[in-house]
Amino acid sequence: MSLLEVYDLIKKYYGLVAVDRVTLSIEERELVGLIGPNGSGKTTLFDCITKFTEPNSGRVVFRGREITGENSHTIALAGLVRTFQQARIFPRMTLVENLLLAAQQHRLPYEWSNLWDRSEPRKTEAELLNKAHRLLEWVDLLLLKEEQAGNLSYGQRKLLAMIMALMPNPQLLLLDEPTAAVNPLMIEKIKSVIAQLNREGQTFFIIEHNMDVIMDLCSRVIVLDHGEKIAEGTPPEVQKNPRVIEAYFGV
Amino acid sequence: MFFQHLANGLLISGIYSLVAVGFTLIFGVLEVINFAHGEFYMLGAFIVFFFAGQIGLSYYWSIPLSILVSLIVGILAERTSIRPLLEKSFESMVICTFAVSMILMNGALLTWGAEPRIIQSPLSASVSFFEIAFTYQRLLVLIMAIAISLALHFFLQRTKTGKAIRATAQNKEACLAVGIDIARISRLTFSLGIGLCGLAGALVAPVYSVFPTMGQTAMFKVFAIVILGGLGNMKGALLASLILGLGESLIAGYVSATLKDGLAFLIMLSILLLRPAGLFGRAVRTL
Amino acid sequence: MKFKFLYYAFALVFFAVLPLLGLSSYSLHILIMIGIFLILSQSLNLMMGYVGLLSLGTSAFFGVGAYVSALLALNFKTPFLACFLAAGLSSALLAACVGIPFLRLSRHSFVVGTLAFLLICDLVSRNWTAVTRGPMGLPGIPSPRFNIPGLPPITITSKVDHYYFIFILVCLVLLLFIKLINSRLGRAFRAIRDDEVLAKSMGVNTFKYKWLAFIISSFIAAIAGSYFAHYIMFVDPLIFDLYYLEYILITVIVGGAGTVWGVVAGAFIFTTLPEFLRLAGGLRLVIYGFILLLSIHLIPEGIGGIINRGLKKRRLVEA
Repeated sequence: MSLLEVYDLIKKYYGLVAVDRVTLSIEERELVGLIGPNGSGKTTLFDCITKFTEPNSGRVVFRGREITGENSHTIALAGLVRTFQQARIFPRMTLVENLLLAAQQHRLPYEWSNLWDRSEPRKTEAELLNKAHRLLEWVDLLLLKEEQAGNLSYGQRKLLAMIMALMPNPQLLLLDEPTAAVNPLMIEKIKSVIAQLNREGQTFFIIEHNMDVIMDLCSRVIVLDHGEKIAEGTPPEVQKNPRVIEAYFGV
Repeated sequence: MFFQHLANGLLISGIYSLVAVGFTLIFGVLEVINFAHGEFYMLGAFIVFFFAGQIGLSYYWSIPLSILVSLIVGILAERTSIRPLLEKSFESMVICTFAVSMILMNGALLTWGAEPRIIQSPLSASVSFFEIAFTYQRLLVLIMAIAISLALHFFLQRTKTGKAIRATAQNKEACLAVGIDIARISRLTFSLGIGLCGLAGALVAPVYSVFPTMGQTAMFKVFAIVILGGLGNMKGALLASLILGLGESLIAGYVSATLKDGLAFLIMLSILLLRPAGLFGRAVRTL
Repeated sequence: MKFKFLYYAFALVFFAVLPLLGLSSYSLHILIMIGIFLILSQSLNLMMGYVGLLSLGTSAFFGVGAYVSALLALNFKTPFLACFLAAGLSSALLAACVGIPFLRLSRHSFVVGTLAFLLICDLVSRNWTAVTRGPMGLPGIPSPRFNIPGLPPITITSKVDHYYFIFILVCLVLLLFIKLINSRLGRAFRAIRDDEVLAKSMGVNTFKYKWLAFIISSFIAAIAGSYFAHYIMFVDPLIFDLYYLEYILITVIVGGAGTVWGVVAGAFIFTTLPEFLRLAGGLRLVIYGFILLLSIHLIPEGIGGIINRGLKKRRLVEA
């Protein structure tokens, strides 16, 4: 059973097809990249999978269960967590509060029964705080833990957004352009964080424009163009694929 | 008798529509819930009272003067209160219009007192067609309301500026992309909305009495109208004005005059609970 | 952190001892009113400042609480505490019911809808004369009486008694409010305020939490209303007047939506200001209108926000 299976997903906006019958699957422990020219529907695909947009048709199956009809918050609680392109955080809450919020709603371990089972305890405040401190330390933000998140620099926000997504121990993490608009040193930091987590067993599905990141991190790459999946394979394979080259360079 | 009630209903609908359409325009383009809207209606009526009733100017001249004063106050309010906040949250602007409403209403209360004032119109003579009795004043209101609705329709559908207004209400980013000056359109729309209000107040002043809280009373009806028609929906506002106006008139005629205000209440309650988006839904995008 | 404790302790002692310093009946009255509107303002503060929803229906629940409490006391001779709690609970139930359709509305329609709800309550109280006696109102609401087993029955009649009751109530409400804000529930509320879409992506059922906030907020407003009714011993439809809404709006906005102590300060300022201004009612509201306008433009975070920025201490408590 794959961790995530997407079947024939279609999303149209008044005649423009943003996602055109996309079918894919992600296995556990994989680090898969999603690339494509601007406007090829990558973020829309994420939105459809996590129900931030309602797809027109298609099915999404997560850990063997159909989540096509679920709400965005339920999907998150099931262990499918996503980040946003714009490094969204809660500006008027402190870093610690941001992290606590990120995990407080979740019941771990992720069992479907947990969503409705009131007898399963959620993590205690102490456990959450512990984890929050560890994550903050890992990305060198511990000293700023009581700062309002709105005061952080863009790069720091990106890091915060990423560790927020990690707080609930997601089964699958959908990262939307984790290195966009970030300076090279920070890019290396983010890459190493992702790589290490993947080594420890975290599954990732990442949208990226930065080819170095894709090449270095991903074991498999999916390519979208105009909403259609045009190629899939290892990074070197995809790099040489004529359809991919055509999509990017219009040759 | 029925036609009399119908005619009265049309009259009321006409007034409601002038105020409601202005409110809807302002909401559609500026995304502001103008709580002070009713106060501009009240202002229009009081200015007429001031010029015609207190100074002794002719009623006919009072009308354009009233619109002018309403516009000036409106533009002042827009410039100082609303414009600076357009980037901030919608809630801030709502509170601002609330504050403006407080200032205007209590200002009027201070200036003229709470006693209802009567204005004598030169058009108080009656005329009858087919068993329907109308004072010329009421006829004027009705004709003006219809004429303005038509003019507005023509303006919004056929003229360049009108289309720009509709475009801004639909999609601001796209407007920026095609070079429409949103700030100018916003100012224009606000002035238009306020002007309509002021006009409605000026026309209505001799028909009913004038008092500082009449804006609040009118807004109650306007809220019922926009709740029924859908916030931001022009056609909805027009249709809902018609429904409410005719409904009230018929209830006043056949059931009881005191119960007519209950219709607005009933509409509000049932729509909010059963179909909160209104009969036609919203025409405004939200994130 | 120890210093904070000292401030609280000092304030507590100060206010506890205040009446013993021989204040006039009128001053006590002002303080009592401050207490009542402080509580009501926190109800609005919860919705506006901590969830991010402009709920203009807050003063509707104030009135509902007042009427329920009054009706129970007058018609069924219910003891005060029962009236008080019943007012809160029935208001919460009402909020639970109307909250469901209202919270599905867009932000804009929600504002219009809650205001319409206030106007509807006003109309109902005026016209349902069989129950509310319409504009004549409900006079003669009995003073609060407590029958605690073992102790002689306590009746709150004098201003000093009322002062101590409201003082205890205010302390309780503020304590619970602060606890709420810093709890998981409070964090969920603030997350919704800051970024609702992001909150959803973190597993927050935003509809449910907005609904819960609406219910809690109405409970707080209703108990303020209930006590108000028993203090002035009279309720009439004017309790739904926009005057109260404007009053708490200015208190929350100028005090600082999203801060606890800012709103407390706001309640003090706007209840005592009229005494210093000593102006006719109409001008006062005009001035308030201008203050509100200026405040929104110049100090949008309110007094509380400015103090928070000024202090810039490390804290886990958002106050």
